[in-house]
Amino acid sequence: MSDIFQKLVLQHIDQLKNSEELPLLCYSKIVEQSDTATPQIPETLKKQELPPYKAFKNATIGRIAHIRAKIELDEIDPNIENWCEKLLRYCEIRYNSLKKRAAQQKRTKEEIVKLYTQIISLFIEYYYKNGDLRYINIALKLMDYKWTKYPNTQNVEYLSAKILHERNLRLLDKILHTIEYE
Amino acid sequence: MNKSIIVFSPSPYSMLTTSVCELLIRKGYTIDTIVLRKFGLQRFRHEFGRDGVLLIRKIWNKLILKEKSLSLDEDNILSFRKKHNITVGHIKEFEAHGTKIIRCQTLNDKVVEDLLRAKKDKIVLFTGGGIIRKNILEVAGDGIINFHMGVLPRYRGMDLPEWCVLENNTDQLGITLHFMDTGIDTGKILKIVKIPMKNSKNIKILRDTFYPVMVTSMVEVLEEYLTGKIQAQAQPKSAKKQYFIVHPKLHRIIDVKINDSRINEYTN
Repeated sequence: MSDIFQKLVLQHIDQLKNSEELPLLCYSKIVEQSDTATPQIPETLKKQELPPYKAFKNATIGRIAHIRAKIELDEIDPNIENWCEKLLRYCEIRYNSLKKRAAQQKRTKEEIVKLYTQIISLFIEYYYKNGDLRYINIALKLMDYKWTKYPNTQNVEYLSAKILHERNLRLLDKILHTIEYE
Repeated sequence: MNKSIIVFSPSPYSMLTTSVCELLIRKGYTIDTIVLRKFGLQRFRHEFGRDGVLLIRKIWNKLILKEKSLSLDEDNILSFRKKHNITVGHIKEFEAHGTKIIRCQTLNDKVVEDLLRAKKDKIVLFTGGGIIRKNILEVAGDGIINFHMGVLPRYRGMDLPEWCVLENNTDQLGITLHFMDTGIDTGKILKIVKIPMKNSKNIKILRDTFYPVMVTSMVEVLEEYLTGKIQAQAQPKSAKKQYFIVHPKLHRIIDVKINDSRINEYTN
């Protein structure tokens, strides 16, 4: 356990266990011999109601975390599928203006970083369930943007985004390697 | 019944447009009008917003290098033109055959709408030039025939040869001739032509093999449609999946996969 991701996890394991942003989903896919417990999905996330997708402005960090929880629990229904497809289409079609649109939706910098880190994580996790490479394609594109990455700060507010970002980098590397040799 | 044939073109040098038009004229058809989308700052901005830096490569290949970007030794539009002795290199040359040329900022301009309204019985061939809006679709007579670089309804969107290779579905490589509607590649299908992977070294060379098929299929489909030999078939409404431009990291993997399949074919 030597890279940034694993160091961060070990340093902050107690905080992470109570995080509602599910930073450690797919943890077993990264660390085969894990001696750290994977945090449980908080009950509050499991019980939330997810309304049908209407517009991207309704995509909140909480809702994306909820969808991720449902995906992790294998509770993918048509509403979840629709959310994932609509989020993918929004990010692809508006790719070049995403930052501007996020600002227009009056999201703060912290919100933007956290939201997009959640969305990238969601796309990667959804790919693991359905094998649809379009989700990896858009995850790679979003990772290319500097503004989706956590700022270089010790601010604890960005901790989950920081860990998720590092985790996503590792997962994408693994996935690309797998696709290449499959 | 003689229908007016109107062709939408993305560039005055478009090898697709000039090849389709020349082959049609040889078969005795008259091209009534070619609607040319001008390349100006407005179009550059719009397409740069969509394609990003890829647009620079596109402009370099299509407007600056033109045929120098292609090799005569490979299966592509250039070798096809040579084989069929297609000589027209600029759409202006069609004026000698009685074709009118109309220039517009976008294919959805009022001038295009007015042109289509003025022609009673017409069919439009789309050889590129951007998204067509409802105002044009509504006055396009029989409709606008498009050649799409994927097999519909399975492969909608962009970079479809790339996606077929990525998804290990190379038996689904091909093109679809279809009527345009307000959706993305959701219009009625006229014909599907599958294209084998052959011995392409990379995705660019593989894509290049599509263009000769697109030209011949467009001419064939128009003939078959006008003589009533084929009819357009509606697509199933369930086909929702849309593909988008492939990320460079996946592009690299696509070339590896194409090379691997060549090696496999050779060793088998």
